[in-house]
Amino acid sequence: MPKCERIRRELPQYAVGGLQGRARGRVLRHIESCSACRTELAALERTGALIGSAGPLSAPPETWPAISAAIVARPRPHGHPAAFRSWRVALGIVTVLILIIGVVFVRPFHSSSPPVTVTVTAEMEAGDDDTPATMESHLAAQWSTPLADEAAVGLRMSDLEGS
Amino acid sequence: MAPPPRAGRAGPGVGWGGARLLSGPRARILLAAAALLLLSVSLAFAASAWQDIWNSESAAKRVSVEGDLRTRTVVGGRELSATAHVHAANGKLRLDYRSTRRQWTLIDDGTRLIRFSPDRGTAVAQPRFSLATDRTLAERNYTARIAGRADVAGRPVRAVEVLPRAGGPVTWRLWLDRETGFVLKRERYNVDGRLTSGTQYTSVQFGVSVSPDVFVIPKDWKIEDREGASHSLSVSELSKQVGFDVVSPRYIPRGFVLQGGYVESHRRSGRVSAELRYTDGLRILNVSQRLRGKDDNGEAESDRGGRRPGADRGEGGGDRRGRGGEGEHERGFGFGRPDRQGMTLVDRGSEKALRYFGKHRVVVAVGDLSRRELVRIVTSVD
Repeated sequence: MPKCERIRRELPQYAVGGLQGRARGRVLRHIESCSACRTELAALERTGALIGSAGPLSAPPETWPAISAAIVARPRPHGHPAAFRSWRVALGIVTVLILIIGVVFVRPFHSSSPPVTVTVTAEMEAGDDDTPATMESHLAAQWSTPLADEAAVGLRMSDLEGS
Repeated sequence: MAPPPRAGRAGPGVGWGGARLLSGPRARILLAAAALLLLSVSLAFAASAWQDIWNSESAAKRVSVEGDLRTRTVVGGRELSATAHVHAANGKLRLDYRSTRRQWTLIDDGTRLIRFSPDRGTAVAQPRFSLATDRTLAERNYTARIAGRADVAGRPVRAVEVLPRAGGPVTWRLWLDRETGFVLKRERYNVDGRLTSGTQYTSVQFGVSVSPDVFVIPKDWKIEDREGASHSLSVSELSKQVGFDVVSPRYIPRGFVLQGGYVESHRRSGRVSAELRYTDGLRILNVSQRLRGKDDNGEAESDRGGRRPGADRGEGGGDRRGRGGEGEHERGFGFGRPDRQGMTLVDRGSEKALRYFGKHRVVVAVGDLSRRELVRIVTSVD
């Protein structure tokens, strides 16, 4: 019986030609051997034929004028017109966006604190004792990294030593 | 009993032959299989490229080599170049450089790095740093691909490219000897995509007998032993060694992991800094710090505004002009505290060094990173 239940769930779709491939074959094989499901399918097909023979129904002629009159007579909501309210919403969104942009991007430019200054040079300055020490350590470490170009690193070491 | 014909409604897979072809369950399985095959082939090629790279690393230790090479590198705005005679065997290396200006020798005997200048008469020896190479870290951060075939020094080679997985230009181009795996040519590109160094063998012989004496410092050389970072320390051990609390940067670029802490000695002043060393598997990032002394005048650094030595040389100058030049203000994009003082960025091509005078510390970061990244790193320390 559980198989019949499963097949019956698919019968309506089968009845209108909605099943294909393996699913269709499964239903077809089952109804060949199951009289109860065959009966169910026949009933479904009869119902389908009945609905199909009825043809399209049309509404009584007074229906649409009545609907139209009901829409026109509907009381408008109090307050501002809808168009104005949508403008207010848009204005609110724009204001919030401007505020966000201001906070994220503009605020740092108007900070009362001094800006960070980066002086860019090509060579280390004479009095700097910190950078050469770290640079030397960096080159020594570079020497041992995988893919290191020892010959070029050696050239850089020699230049640093001479600088 | 046959079901009625299906209504003329166009469902998925109906009405266009191609869509129908691709929509069936079998077609989907075929597509998935094709995608899987494509992925497997790509991964196999990538794995093969990495295999070639790691093989080249071991070849440098396995194969004995004698040859000549030409090397060049960009330092700041200057291009340095030299030729060198090479001896390599058993993981040891000797380079006898010859440039238009002078000659010098560099020996890596496996434990020490020795640089000897005949004109100085002194050899500087420092412990050879050993990076705990984590190949999976490199493969996690970079991708490798085979880029073609060529000839270098009269030998057939396979070209391999290494690129950051996070995107960006090629970092390395390597030309590997097809017989031995040895690297016969390599090019290094920095984070901005500029070629910063290149080395190429002009002649090479493999399997030659290299005397062990080549890697020994001659007795008549005067040796200046320089302290160096041979083994790493934890942050707490490093704090004890340098005598102040070492602060780890709150910001480190993605992909980098802490390799260890080291004591860094300043040659001229005798000061010591605490250095934290990071790696992404192929690149190194050094972040050193020391407490500010009375003689440190960070504000003067930023306010001076005059031209630094070499500031108008070569391509570095052009680059600076393009980015706003000296005294350029990094007006913060959400990073750093507002009370920052000056920073000096030395752009040496392969790496940039940024020195920063914080409230309490002098911080230096050196690495092949963008200026923005370096600023974020140093300002996250103090």
